Amino acid sequence: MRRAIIFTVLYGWCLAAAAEMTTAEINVQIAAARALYEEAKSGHHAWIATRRLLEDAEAALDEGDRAAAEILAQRAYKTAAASVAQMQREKTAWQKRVPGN
Amino acid sequence: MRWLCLTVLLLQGGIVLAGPAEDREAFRAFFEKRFRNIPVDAHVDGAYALDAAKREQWLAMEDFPPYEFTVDDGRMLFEEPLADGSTYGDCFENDGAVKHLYPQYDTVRGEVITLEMAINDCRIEAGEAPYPYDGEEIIQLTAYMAFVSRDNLIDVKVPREAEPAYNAGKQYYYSRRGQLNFACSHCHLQMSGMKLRAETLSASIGQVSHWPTYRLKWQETGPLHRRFARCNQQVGAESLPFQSEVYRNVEYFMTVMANGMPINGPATRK
Repeated sequence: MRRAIIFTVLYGWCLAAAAEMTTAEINVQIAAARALYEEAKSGHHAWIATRRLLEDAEAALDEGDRAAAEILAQRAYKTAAASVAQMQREKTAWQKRVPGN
Repeated sequence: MRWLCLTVLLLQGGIVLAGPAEDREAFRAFFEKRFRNIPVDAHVDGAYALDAAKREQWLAMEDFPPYEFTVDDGRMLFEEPLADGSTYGDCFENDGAVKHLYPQYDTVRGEVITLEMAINDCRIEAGEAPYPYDGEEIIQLTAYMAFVSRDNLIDVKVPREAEPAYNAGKQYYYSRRGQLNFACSHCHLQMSGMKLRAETLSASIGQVSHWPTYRLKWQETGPLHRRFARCNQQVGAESLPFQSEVYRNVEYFMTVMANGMPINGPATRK
């Protein structure tokens, strides 16, 4: 029984370690988020939240806090993707708000 | 026949845009209907047209307006000779009472020229360096020019060449932006007259009539584009530089919507 518990704990720890992103992977995630942020910015739809998350993710990585950097990079990516989706949607959606339309 | 087919196709695609005159008519009609007891032109006073108690406080404040010194400083700057001996009066007719005619579309440069830009053009022509758009001199000059333009009716033209700039400003105004997913029109059309915390949201129409404005929040007189930037930030969107092409186009669209309304700047706002 004791052996089974130890095995389960070790197995779980190995899975978690395997799931954690490497520094290179986090950098890729940050770069992908930044590319989307720049795309939104070129259409005047960039969000302040994305910029701050990107800055925080890079700072966490510089400090060697990979776990925090990973979460922040993922959040930056999600907000950047949402801002690009907003930009795409608003290419036509704005017209419905014009009085008389 | 070809034009008819094209028109039908465009209508089906929903990409037909009304022109500035139709837009303005629909814009005014919207506020006439929304605020039946308030004449549309009264909206040049912003939220003070909608709230009697706050209007009373505001009128009391106007007895000793906090922008007065800015206007005085602007008058001195306006009369001061420039490097080549000319004055701003040589660039702007009616002793600078031209605020109601700006922004203008320059067909040669192919862009919207605001009063701030025209002031800097005047300086460059006279051999002076342009003023920074967030500096106090340009605010003093525009405050003075707004003051001497008071009661003149806004009369901004949209030549055919200007339509892309006008439409870009219009699209920006009605587009959702930022993490809060708000368009300018959400606060100042759909929710105008309603409360945002303790503040009454002013109507969009006539909002451009009273700039530059002394804002109690800023504790100083500031330009319209500073307000645009703050609006962007309030909905979580990245703001743009003062006098950027986008903000100039938005100002152009909003001013066309206010055509026929009196200039009453500078003003005091919370």
